[in-house]
Amino acid sequence: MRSLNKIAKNLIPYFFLLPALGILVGINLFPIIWNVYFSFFDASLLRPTHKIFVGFNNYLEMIKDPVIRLCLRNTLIWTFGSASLQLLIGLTLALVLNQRLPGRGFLRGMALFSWIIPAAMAAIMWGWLLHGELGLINDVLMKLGLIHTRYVWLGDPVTAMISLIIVNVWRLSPLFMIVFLAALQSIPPVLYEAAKIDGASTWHSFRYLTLPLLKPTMGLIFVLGSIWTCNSIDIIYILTGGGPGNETQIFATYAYNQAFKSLRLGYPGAISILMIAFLTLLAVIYLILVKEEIK
Amino acid sequence: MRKKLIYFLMSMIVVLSMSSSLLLAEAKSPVTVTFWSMRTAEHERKALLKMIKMFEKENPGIKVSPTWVPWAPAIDKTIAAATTGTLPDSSIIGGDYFGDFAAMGIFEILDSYIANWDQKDNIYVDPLEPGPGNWYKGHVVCLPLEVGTMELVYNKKMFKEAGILSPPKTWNEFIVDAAKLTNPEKGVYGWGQAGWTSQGYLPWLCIVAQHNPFSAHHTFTPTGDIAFDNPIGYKMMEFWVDAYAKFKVTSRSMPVDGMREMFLAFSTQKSAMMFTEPRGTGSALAAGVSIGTAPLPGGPVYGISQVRKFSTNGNVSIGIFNTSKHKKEAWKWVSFMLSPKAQVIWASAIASFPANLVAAQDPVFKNNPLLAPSYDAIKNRYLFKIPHYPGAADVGYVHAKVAMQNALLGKWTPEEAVKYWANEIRKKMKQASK
Repeated sequence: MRSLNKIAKNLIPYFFLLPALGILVGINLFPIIWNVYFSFFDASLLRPTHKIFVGFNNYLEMIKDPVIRLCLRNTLIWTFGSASLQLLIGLTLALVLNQRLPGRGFLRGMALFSWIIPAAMAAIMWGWLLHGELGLINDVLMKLGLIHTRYVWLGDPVTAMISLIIVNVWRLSPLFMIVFLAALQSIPPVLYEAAKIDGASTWHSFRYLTLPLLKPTMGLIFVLGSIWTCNSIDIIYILTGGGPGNETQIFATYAYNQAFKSLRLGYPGAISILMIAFLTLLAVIYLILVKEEIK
Repeated sequence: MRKKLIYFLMSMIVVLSMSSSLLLAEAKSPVTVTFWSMRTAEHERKALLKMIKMFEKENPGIKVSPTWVPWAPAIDKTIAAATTGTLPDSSIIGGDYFGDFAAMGIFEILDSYIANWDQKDNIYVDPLEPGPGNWYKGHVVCLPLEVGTMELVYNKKMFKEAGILSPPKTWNEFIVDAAKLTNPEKGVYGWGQAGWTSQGYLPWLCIVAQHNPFSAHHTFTPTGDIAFDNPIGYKMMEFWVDAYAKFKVTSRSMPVDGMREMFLAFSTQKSAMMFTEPRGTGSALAAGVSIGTAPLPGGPVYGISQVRKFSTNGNVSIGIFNTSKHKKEAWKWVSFMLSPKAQVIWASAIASFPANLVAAQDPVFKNNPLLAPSYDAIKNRYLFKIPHYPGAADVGYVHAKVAMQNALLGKWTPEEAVKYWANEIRKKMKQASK
């Protein structure tokens, strides 16, 4: 009887966890399972009841599809290009705004400005700024004598991808900055004072004190930033739609186009599974880093 | 016992009087027809509300309840409503997804409704004439609500400043004039294009149909094959690409521009000519641009002679969903929308040519110089409906864009671009026939 009571007592916490678990399964796991299921069918959003089992055909189509290879290349450039620059700029901003500057609070608030703007709105704004004939950026560059003819930043495959990364970095760097700022403020000032007494220069303090102490945070935010960027479609979708051609197409935009323009369900399901695999890899790295930080 | 009987009778009287009053109230309460309008601008809303007021006055037993659904989410909302059984009674239908919706079987077949309809001979295009739009598998499922002719719209002031006396009549003159109007240093181009990110490919389909003796209209041959997948189509694509890459008379941003950018460039005098329907001139008129219109240029292109005059008709329709519980009342509303008096209000509000040809005799349209090419196209019978087929939107918005952008970047030859596009249409047709 006592052991039964003990078991019941041990089970109670799990019982209380059930609602949260149900919500998590409903929101996260169910769509993934549903997606896996659909990836084996030829189905259309227009005919929800009409679906044909095609086995691994959607996966085979993916292997043959030349756009998928472009998506892989572009997703890697877009994700790691953005995350690296966000890390660099976020860290630089954090180091600057960690100094005792006049109006530091105001500057910190201003630095967050780009992150507050919704991504879609930011993309539309940048679309006009970067526009070949109507864009302000060309006007400014021409007035400064840096270019002599108006350049179509989003019309060339190379500059289009660079422009997209710049917009994404502009938007998300403040978030990196906030995380770094919090990490910087958690370093005890006494360490810097001791280093100073030992004759360490500012560079040495940064190189041998700040950087090693920020390393776990850097790893975490880099992985998290990569996951967010890899998933996000708003900036690319609004600015280039994956074009010109398919030169800025990433997995997320391609899957979206296949599902909501081509109205297919199976093929974008297969693309999403590939994306999940890629993101899972990043998530595993993230978990390892979290574990390291806890240690 | 007697007391009980009195109580029983009294309660019966109460119940009966309550239920009869409820029934009476229900019988008296008007039927509400729900209607989705994708025309959501303020002046368009006002026009629709005015028409609803007129309709309700004429039909005291029917109320129309409008819901404003912008074009962008209209497709998703319609699909979601179709799968969840929450479609309205009636709706404006964009031509892009007409074929897909028709294949879903969500439209009420209108054959029996229009059989005795007094306006059936006044609607352009005649709904009883099988055509590529509004029809599906031999039945009329929608009716044209708006008519818009693809025409050349030009900036009169810029023409005058460049010493150009009249709009170009041939494609050769068009390129020469566009070159005179182009000043890349100022970011000004003779020809503003919508790229192919939206329906920017429609003028190209017109030039192909002008020169292609094999096409019934611009996308399909009489045998159902793709009308532009042939040397004539390749040459026309070459012409389009050359305008950008060789003659440099069109915006360098063209590959990534949509309708919005095209209209803005024209309104801000960054481009002097564009191909659009009259309803595309709204922003330029609001910006005070002096606008002239003309039929599409014609004549030979790269040695290929013109075989016919050709223009496309805008593709906005109106239909009833077969899930409607008030089909009779919905038809009353739809037929009212297409009546001459309603069309005068509607077409004036959206700067379109009216779908009802009786309404087209109204001075408000006859005296509008912007509509002159529309009258010419209708009078000379060269205004063709845009063909609707399942998957047309995907082909148009995704694959046509990829084809054109790769051609402009020089990654694909014009022939490769046309072939890719045509094959995507073939794939869609094959899928639809399964």
